[in-house]
Amino acid sequence: MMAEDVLMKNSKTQSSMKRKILVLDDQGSFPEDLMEYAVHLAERLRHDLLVLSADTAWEGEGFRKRAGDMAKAFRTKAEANGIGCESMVRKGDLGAVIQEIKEKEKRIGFILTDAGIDRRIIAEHIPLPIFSMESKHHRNGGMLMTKRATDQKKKTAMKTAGFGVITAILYAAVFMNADTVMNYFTRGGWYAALPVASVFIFSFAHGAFAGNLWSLLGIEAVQKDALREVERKVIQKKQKIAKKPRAYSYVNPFHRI
Amino acid sequence: MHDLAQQTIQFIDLDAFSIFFLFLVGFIGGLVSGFIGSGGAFVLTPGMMSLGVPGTVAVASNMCHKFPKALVGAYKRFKYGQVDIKLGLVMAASAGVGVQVGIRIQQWILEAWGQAGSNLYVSVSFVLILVIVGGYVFRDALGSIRSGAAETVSALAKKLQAINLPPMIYFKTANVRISLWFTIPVGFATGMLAATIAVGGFIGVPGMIYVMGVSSLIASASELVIAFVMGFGGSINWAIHGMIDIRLTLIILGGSLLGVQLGAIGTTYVKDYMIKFVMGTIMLIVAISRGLAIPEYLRQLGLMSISPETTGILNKVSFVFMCLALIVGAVIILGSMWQGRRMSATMNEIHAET
Repeated sequence: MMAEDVLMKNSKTQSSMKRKILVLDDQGSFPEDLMEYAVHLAERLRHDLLVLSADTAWEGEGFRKRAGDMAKAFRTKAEANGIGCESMVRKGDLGAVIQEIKEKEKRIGFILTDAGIDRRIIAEHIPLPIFSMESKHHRNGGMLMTKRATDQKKKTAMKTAGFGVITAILYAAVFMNADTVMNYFTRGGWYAALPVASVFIFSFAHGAFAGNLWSLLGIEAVQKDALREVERKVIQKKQKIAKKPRAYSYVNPFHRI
Repeated sequence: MHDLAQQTIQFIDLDAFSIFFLFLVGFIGGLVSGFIGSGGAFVLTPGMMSLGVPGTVAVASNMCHKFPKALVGAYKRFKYGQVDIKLGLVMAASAGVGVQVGIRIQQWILEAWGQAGSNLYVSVSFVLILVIVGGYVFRDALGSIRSGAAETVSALAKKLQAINLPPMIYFKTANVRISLWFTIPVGFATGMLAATIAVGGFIGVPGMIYVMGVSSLIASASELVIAFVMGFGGSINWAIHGMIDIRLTLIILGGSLLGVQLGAIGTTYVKDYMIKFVMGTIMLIVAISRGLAIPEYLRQLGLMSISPETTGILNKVSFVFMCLALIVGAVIILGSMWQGRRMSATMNEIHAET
């Protein structure tokens, strides 16, 4: 799984036994403002930084170069603020990378990631608080988020086109040979398998095409739980506003009767 | 015998209009059945017959498109965690028996009173069942819409669930524990109705909701499993007799697989009672449609004196109402999906601001 292992430390890290903040990224780059935030947070909490770049897409050399530049920027910032900073590049599946770091490194306090990473995979392997940071307004962050969305969309578009072509070929095959097809398919008896089997094949190809087409058009199922979560938060907030303490006086009507 | 069937059955030539018509009805029917678990068949069969397809071929080709559609819909809704497979299979087993009994009754009526009598029986049972069950479902849905309350388990279902009559079955996804003996009549009635009017779901889904206490979301999703099992069995039977016109099936399938997935996605946008609302509305409109067809059969039996011209018009109006039922259902589904989408978008915006 692990093809390479680049480990770089700055001078301060050697003797440090402080707890660490694990900064996890899978793009080989980290938005500038998030970098700043991570470094300042580490300084305030007296933690060291451990920057882990996971090459989950097996990009290889290009990723390593980007991650190296990023780690360098991190180290410079860290040094300027007087905190230790270690960086690593790992290639492979996110889960496996996290598993490995968990076994190796025992002093991690919590994890910082950029918002695009799949937090569930991290949470599955390491029982630590995970904080995601969103850098929507930032140039780099914006680009990252858009890139992810575009990649996903491209994949769906490819699938839609692929299954679309298969479906079209299947339909063309039946309707261009309609006479032969009808002749065999309606013979009955054991020939009954023909229509039944072909509707299965058609429903597989066409069903996959239709499903991908709807997601390509942006029509996808809502995760009810996510919706409810948002709803709950909005309600909570409203209740909070509604519950403002208010001055009131109480007058006992039976006083001195 | 098969050769004989082939000689006597005329398979129609397809033109652009009939292809478009079948595709469109397939799409709308798929949309509705992805949402409420069944539907579409009641327009497709008469629709195909009006294009000149013989009755048996229409029924067979329709059924052959129904099971792959149900399969795709069930798979999609299974991914959303709405399908109770065990519930679907248990129901399908008793529905299978119901279908056989339903066919026997049909044959017996056909022998006793002829084609018109059989048609009358079908139409009367259509109207009775759809008005009673559909009216109840519709009223319940309206109540929920007005109060905005979450779906509750009916009093009847609570009572039945409390009766400890072995063997008790636990349905995990539906989270219902009920005696097998109470599931059998529901499944049986579903099958009987399927054999009579070709849409078993009109009994199956309300039965699961009000008799067994399953939520409407899970009931309508599990109905797709029942539809798959029954459609699959039925299609094999029709295919053995060489009655399936695969071209018709594939054209309808082309539209309905698009529709069924959209309908399945739609269920995740709307509140539970919308499923009941759509179902009740469609059932009541279909009941009107079938009611309009009754005078024709009464005339054929000599029980009513009415001119053939009038019944001809009534038949046309009846078919228009059928189409209307589907269209109204589709409009409600798409409309509420649109609303749901807008609401979730606003929610996300609010969330982003906080």
